[in-house]
Amino acid sequence: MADANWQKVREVFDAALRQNPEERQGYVKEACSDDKDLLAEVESLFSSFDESDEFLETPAVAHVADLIESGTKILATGTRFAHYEIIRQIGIGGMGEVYLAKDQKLDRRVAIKILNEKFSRDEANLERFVREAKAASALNHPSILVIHEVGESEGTHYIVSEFIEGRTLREVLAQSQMSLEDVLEVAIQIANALAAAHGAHLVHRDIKPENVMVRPDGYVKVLDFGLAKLVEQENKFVFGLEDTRARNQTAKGLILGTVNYMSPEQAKGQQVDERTDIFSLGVVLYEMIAGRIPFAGDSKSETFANLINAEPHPLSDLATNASDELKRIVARTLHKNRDDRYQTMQAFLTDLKDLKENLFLENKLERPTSPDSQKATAVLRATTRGANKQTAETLHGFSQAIKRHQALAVFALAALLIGSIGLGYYFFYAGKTAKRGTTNEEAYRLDQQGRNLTFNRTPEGTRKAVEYFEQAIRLDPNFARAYSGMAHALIASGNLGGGLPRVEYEKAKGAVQKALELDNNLAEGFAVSGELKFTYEWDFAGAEKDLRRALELEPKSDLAHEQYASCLVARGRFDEAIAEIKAALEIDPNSLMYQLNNGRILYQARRYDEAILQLKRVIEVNEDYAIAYAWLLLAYEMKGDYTQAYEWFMKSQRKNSEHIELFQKAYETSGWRGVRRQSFELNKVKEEQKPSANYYSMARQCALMGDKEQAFAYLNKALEKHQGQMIMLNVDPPFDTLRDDPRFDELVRRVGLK
Amino acid sequence: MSARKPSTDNITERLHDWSGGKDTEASDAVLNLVYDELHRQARRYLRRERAGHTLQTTALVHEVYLKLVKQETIAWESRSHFFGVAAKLMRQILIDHARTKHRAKRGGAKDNVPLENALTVGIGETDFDLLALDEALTRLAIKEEHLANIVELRFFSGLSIADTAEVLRISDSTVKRDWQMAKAWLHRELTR
Repeated sequence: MADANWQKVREVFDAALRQNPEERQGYVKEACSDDKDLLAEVESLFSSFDESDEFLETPAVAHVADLIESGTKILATGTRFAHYEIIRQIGIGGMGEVYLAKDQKLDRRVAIKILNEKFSRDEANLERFVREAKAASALNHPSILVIHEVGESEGTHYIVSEFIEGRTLREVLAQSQMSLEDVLEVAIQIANALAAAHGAHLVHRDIKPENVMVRPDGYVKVLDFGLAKLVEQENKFVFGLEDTRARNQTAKGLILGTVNYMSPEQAKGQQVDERTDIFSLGVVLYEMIAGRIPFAGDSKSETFANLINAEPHPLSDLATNASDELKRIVARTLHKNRDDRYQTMQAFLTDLKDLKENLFLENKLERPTSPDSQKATAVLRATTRGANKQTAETLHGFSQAIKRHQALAVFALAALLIGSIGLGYYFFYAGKTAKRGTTNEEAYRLDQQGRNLTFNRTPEGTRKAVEYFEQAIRLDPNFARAYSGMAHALIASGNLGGGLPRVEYEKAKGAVQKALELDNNLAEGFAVSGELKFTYEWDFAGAEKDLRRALELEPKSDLAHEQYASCLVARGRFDEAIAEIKAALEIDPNSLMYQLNNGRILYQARRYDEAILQLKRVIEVNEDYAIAYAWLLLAYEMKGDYTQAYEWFMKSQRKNSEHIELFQKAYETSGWRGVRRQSFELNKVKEEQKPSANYYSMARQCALMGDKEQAFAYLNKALEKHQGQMIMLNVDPPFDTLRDDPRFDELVRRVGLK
Repeated sequence: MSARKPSTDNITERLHDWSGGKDTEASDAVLNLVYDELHRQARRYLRRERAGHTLQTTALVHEVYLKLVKQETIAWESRSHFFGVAAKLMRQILIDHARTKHRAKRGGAKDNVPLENALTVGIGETDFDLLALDEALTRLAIKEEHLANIVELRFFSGLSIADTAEVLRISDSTVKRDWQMAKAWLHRELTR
């Protein structure tokens, strides 16, 4: 309506307000007798008036009280803070604000949390905060947020940490129902992080979905170690107040965010210990499964009362498909008396892992019982590894079908459909099972599982495989092949990390000897014995003898051919090496592992164009195969094609977008070598902190960057650690720049290559 | 880096406009007093001592007024002018905070760095309303500035009906009716 009528509206409304409520309607109608617009306007205002009783009656300050009281400030984009430049604010909370910023010294993106006045004010708080943040930063666990710095600038305290792209578990929960597999994966990673923290006598005390980040690649990061104690004190302050209803929303949020995951001992203000984290993680696990917390009440005080007195809401009501084992695990975390809970995070973790493993084996790939269907399962399982997702899903369907069809028919069908992926694997692993080597069904099954897990040669898979072989051996101590299988898994695990620790070497050696003691004609036993000799004993002549023996016993052993190829290439016998890897590929033409090794050997033989062709083919099949990219980049780089090296490097980084801009900038200013350096710098700290750092690879990168001294330093460390990769010293092209140095000669001699 | 107040420059500028372009020192003094007052109120709300003791607020602001008048650095036109300026300041500061919170909430969800606790849970709509209210209030001031002033005193300064009446030198019942009119109109604007 036009403004000219405002006065009229005001007058009628004002006058009507002076009337008794029951007479207002009549009064308004009369006052607006012939003005329909006026009547509509006043009536609409009165209808709002009826609803606006509480409206605006709580002063504005209540809505932002937390911000004002905490002395919150806003740093604008571009503001300098210590040696950081603020990019933008990314979070705000009771402790202070979080900003995305650029570390100008190290040229990387970081998250800075700036503590607000309230938390900085108390000296004791501050001291403890700094002490605990330091303790947390010393944890160095892949699932714990990396703290870079705890500092003070112009009286303002701050923490600098790595910047994580991803969602909080709270956001994940809000967006969709998680699959059981994801639930377990997230819980396992959190438990892993907490087990590490507990190992360092650090209790998190504030585990909740807001403190867990889930990255797009599935990695989980636990945040805010050491802050919890401060938060806890904060809670006590708010906590002592009663009356939940009259409280403004800010205060409500403050309490809600923390009581839900609190343990009974925390709620009672008692001492906390590791079992407190077990409880809180139990609540989070419950929420991931059921979509609500176990002690939820209508109000905070009700939740609080439930936490102290009531049993958790039965999980089976909320998640009908939850298995008994899952319910048992959850229940064990939620006991009010901490003596009844899991006593260590490790024990909780073990149960979670076993449950997940069982799910994987029993739900996804149902276990048939007849030997023929067993073969089929082996094929299915083998082929899902390294295959692309679509194929894996198709095969998954087949595995489901096993129970419905005759195993052999399914096997034939599967074999036809597998097409390009891993058919040869069947012949290697399942084919040789014609000679089972054990009469114990369970031992046989465990051995098969160990083999499947070793096949992809991932750090986790190989470690787990060792456990399976050990179990198989426990069931049948005379099961020769389980010993050689375990030794192979141990060696593979060492190759994937920074070498084989002495204890594990002894274990592998003992197992190989035992395998051959039990069966002196076991080809695999000789193949693995050879592998161990050239990789970790640097006894190339002895290795060659064993590998030849393996091939005599079983000319179609692709493992023996593959290992022989590696042994030969280390000694610069390229043509023979290529012939051997080709032989392995003839037996299993579609094994990505052998294709990768073929590419690697061609690169070491300096046949770069062929290497590139082969490695690109590997990447075509599995575009996430990181090692394939690594060899491809080396091939391009040694060939001098830096444009392609950069292009493929960026392709390899596309799922890890965090540093893309840094790399682009490095390339623009200093070309491919700049990108190498940038990538090296980014990985260096992380790598060096690992117990099994790959010093050999770091040395290679330094050699490529022209950093000769550093390369030698790393090579010496690799030698010290007895890293298996050292055997490639003589043929690895990037080390050409070091070969004139007498120190290099010495290294080559010590590896037994001269 | 030492700026602990949001958009301080902006606020100081506004304060100059409202108070007739007086010197910075005096403006800072007003600003500090207003901040102190907001802190005090905020603390009280966090402890959930409900309003109802708003007399204290007035008393404090009154004291502030006397102090400032003594300084004679800003030529306040009147006592109500001073309270009006203080209320506008509070509105500005509070809306800035609400905007920060709103932005942080939105940004937080997008940029995915988590908050350390659930402080912002369930606040979103209120924040949004606060910003919408600010806009609606600006529109109301165009229609009738007096009503907007009452909202600023009541809602943003936290004054009671009686205090508002005293500051504006009008009767309690007039304040009450004007307040009801303003509330009804704003409520409708926000729910349309």
